[in-house]
Amino acid sequence: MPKNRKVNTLDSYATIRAVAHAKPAPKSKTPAPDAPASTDAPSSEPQKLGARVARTALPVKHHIECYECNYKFQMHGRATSSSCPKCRTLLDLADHTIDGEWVETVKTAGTIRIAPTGVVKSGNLIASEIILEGILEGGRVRALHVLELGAGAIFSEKNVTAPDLRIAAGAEFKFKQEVKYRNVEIAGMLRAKLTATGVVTVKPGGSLEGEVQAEHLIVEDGGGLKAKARIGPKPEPTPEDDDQS
Amino acid sequence: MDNNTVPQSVISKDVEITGTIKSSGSIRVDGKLDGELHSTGDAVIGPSAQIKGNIVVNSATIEGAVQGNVTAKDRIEMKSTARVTGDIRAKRLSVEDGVTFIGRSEVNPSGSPITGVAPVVTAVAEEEGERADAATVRSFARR
Repeated sequence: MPKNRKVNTLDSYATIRAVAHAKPAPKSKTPAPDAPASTDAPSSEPQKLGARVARTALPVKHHIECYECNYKFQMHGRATSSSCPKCRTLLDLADHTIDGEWVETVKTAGTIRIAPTGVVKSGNLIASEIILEGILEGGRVRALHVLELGAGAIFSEKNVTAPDLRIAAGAEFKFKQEVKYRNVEIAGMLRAKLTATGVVTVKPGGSLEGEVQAEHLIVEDGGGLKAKARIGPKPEPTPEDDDQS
Repeated sequence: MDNNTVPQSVISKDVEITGTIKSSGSIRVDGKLDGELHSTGDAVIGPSAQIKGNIVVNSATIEGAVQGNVTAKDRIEMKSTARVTGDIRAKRLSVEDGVTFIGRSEVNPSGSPITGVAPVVTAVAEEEGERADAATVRSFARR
């Protein structure tokens, strides 16, 4: 169940009102003459006169994808629910954590975390980001953006779908079949035959073993790559019939 | 000459060499090399460099084109303009976005291969009738 939290909505009006109510910053007191000089440079900077806004309130943009019609839109501020501008579905934006046995369907545009003590028996889990650290015995998991696999995750590959994959630090996984994702970020260890249409990133401490085919590869210093690799743009079909007569 | 500065051999852009280059210091290649490059120091393969042959160095920074195996005692750094066709082997690796790399890589900084890890728990999510065909994913405990 979501926590009973106060909903803070920051929209444009709230921002302007916050700026209008911002009090001018108090004048900085001149340091005592016997205070030790902190810097060698002379403090000859001119004092800024007039009111200035000490704190600005900028609304945070959230990228939301409707889990019913996959319509993507932005929302400013924080809320636990909203409605899809396209299909008018009431969207749950809250984050959920499953730390016990679970059999129901959960749909949210936020994050679902299956804790190490969580066991999903059945039901569909749909979320923008899914962090799988527990056991997925049944049901299906569909991440709209990222599926993060933590240490201790047990699942069947056919029951999870996501465009992006993230292997958390400390986690080690071996995929028997070829896996295809858009972007893959590896902070743990992954052994697989991996095909990525986006970027494969091996973080420091992470390691990729097996085969990798991607257009973009980033191995940060400290990352391991023990694989047969084919990195680069896809070869374009070239006409070779010029010399063949 | 100052003894503290390491002399660097430079194969400039308009130089083309056929044969093996052996160097005891650091070297920078901007030209064409049809042969092997051996150096106990560091090597920089410039953006305009074209090397057809194996490279054995202490550490290599690759910005150009290499057709051959690259073996570095310490580190291989592949910049975004690098085009490597061949196998690489080093203790540490750094790859920027944009490289073209076709070959095998043997880089494992931690030195702990996954192959020796025994599975602790196995997948339990097989459905009836699909037990044998299920694409199971196993989780391994870190030792």
